[in-house]
Amino acid sequence: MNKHPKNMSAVSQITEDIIIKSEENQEEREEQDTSLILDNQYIFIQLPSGNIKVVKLQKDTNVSLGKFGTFHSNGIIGRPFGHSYEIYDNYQVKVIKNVAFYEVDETDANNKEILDDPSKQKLSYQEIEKLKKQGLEGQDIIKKMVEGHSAFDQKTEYSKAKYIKRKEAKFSRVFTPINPTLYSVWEYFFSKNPGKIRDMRIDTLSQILSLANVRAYTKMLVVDDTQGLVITGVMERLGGYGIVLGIHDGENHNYDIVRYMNFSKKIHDSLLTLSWQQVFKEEIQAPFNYQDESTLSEKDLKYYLRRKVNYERIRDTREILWRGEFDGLIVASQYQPESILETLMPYVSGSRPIIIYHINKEVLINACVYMKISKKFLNPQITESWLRQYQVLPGRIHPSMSTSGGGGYLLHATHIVINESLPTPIPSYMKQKDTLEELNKSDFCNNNSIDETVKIESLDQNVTSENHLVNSEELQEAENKRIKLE
Amino acid sequence: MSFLRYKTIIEEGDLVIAHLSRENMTPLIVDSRKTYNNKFGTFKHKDMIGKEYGTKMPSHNGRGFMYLLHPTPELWTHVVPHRTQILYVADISYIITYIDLKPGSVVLESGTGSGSFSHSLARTIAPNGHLYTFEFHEERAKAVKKEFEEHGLSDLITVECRDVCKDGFGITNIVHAVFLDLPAPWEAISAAKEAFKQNRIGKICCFSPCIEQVQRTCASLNENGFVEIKMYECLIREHDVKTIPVYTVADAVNKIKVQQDKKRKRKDQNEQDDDNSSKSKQDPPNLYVTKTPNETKGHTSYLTFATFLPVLDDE
Ligand SMILES: C[S@@+](CC[C@H](N)C(=O)[O-])C[C@H]1O[C@@H](n2cnc3c(N)ncnc32)[C@H](O)[C@@H]1O
Repeated sequence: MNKHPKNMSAVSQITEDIIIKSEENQEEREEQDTSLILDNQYIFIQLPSGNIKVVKLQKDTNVSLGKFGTFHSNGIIGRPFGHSYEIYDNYQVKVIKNVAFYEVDETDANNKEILDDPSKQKLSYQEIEKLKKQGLEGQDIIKKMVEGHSAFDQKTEYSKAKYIKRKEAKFSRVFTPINPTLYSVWEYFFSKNPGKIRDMRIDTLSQILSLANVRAYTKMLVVDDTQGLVITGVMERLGGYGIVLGIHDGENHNYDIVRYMNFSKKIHDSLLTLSWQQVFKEEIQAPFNYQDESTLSEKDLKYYLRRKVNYERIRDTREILWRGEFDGLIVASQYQPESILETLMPYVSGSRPIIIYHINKEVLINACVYMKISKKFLNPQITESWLRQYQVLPGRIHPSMSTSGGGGYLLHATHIVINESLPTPIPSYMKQKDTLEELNKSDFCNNNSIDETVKIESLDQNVTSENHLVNSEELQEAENKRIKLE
Repeated sequence: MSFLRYKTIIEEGDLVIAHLSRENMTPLIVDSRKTYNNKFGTFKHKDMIGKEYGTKMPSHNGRGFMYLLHPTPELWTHVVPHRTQILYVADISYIITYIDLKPGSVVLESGTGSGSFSHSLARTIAPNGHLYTFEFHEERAKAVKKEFEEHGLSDLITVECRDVCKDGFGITNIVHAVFLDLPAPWEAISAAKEAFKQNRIGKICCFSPCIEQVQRTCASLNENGFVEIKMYECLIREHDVKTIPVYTVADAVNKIKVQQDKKRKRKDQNEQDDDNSSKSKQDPPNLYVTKTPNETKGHTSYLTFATFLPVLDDE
């Protein structure tokens, strides 16, 4: 696999002709259907063992699948995704129709394993190896093995399927190219290294994208420490119409996952990034020393232009952030959610969703209390997604014997606009001296329609209608009490 | 266009979701001549005009307040007039990702029902995708059609009144994905197969509450050449945050002592108060905890997914 630049902004580090080439490719891709296998794109390859390998496909090259063989890339380029292929002769491939991997219950311990009794198999290991050397295709070897199995017919359909599957994993040279979709990309990283994506399960990620109402023409603010998984999902749902501003850890982002989606240039351009340091106005950006470009040598010019582009990118992106009016905030970060909310909420518009992900519920509990007290958030709520897969063999439908134990938690709320010029009903606990002072100033005292009884009634609105919730007032009271105690 | 584009300021004719509490939300189309009355007070529509979405607005007579929320497909699932069972966020989200929808996707749905899922589908495939949705119940088809128009979605959605199990979809070689929420999805699967764009991969999801339906669906998918048949269930569990006091064993002992003191005092009513018999009561520290609701959604439907394989040239 080709070594790729560490991040998108480092694109400028590659020589210019490569930039032009890759831009051309991306431009083309916009017109092309993502359901075709194309040159110079990432694909996943499912191996007979069930394992998945990621490959950056290049035309006119050989792709090695280890012990399952090697094939020539041109054999699959230009074809639609979906089919499986078998390797034959010298690196040639042919389409295999309907090679579904049989869904077989692996945990059925009661099944008598007579099929694995080697004495029932007339074909010896050496004979099988010879067949392979003769260039016999995996499917045919398995067929021969089935024929050579004296007890095969005595078994149930179910056991036969199990046997074939096991042999297939061993001998077949059938592979399936898989198109990178949000689901397949997630699946690859989740099975390989769930920690890298903060253990986020796909159902949880899907809920983030729905709850955050990510779609074309939105401007999303995203704090992503999932190597770009969340950003990837947002970018795909924006489809190149809109902006996603990613706030990242460290000096340079490592949204590594983004590249596996083979996004068009248009979609890539919707991604803007800033580091945490660049978010803060008081962190002054080092000024750029503009020079007369005509005086620079070719080598210096390249370097100069790269620095200039980077400087202007950061300057402009900061302006975009500070202008605010973002359509939502998504957080999947290692940093304390409250501190992130403090920093970024000023840039989010009213009635827009705030979604915070964490694998540890406790982190979200504190953030939820913070939200309830702050009053800028409507209905802060912690939810957990629950996903269960079933085996669907005829007459043998049941939930999978083992499953993911949890897919993480979400804290979500809606951003509320606190309009100071509007009379807001005053909850009873606020009738304490420190807050009263605040209430006495400004428009509040002028608004005589709000008297004592009104204040209490309006508090009741929350209590009666959301009685199964802990409402923010109750919590506020509890919090006040706690503070008093300390 | 409020479902497809965000607005900041509320204007005449806009759709506002009036949020009184989590269980009490109403869609309002702002009409400055109208007033919205409810048990929390009187809300004049014209007071909403010029306000930002997300504003907490007091009632005219100052008795209560409501939040003026921007419509989203998620809020719509809470306020949609229920003409049928509808889909909720857990299933909606998972299906949309699984069947690989994004801006530009072309998707087929049946039945339309109350149009809950249609709103989410339209949101994701906008601005250049298309949704073909089929409903054989005439009144329902009419009602959703009107809603899609009011919500600025009619360019994205084609609604057709049609019995898809009897008459198929009438479209061939067009869609990337199919969603069937029908009592007998297996009767529509062979027609769905034709609707798929034939030269590319596609995804289908059948949504059925009963396991027997799943069984028949899987058999039909298999017969019709679909592969990668997988079935899931997806639910959401809430964790309500609250505070609880944490008492210790010492508190338990103290509580008994206090009771004993009281008894003794009652007995020796005439005697002088003895101050050092029990410690003064102190508030215990609070702990933030979460609790799952006593009752929650235990089942919605089974989600059966499968893959449509591109047709080969020699087929
Ligand atoms: C459960 S509802 C769909 C709800 C929808 N998914 C939603 O979220 O609002 C099922 C709908 O399918 C319709 N339906 C049932 N059989 C049908 C058929 N053969 N052709 C078309 N529509 C049908 C019913 O009238 C009903 O409105």
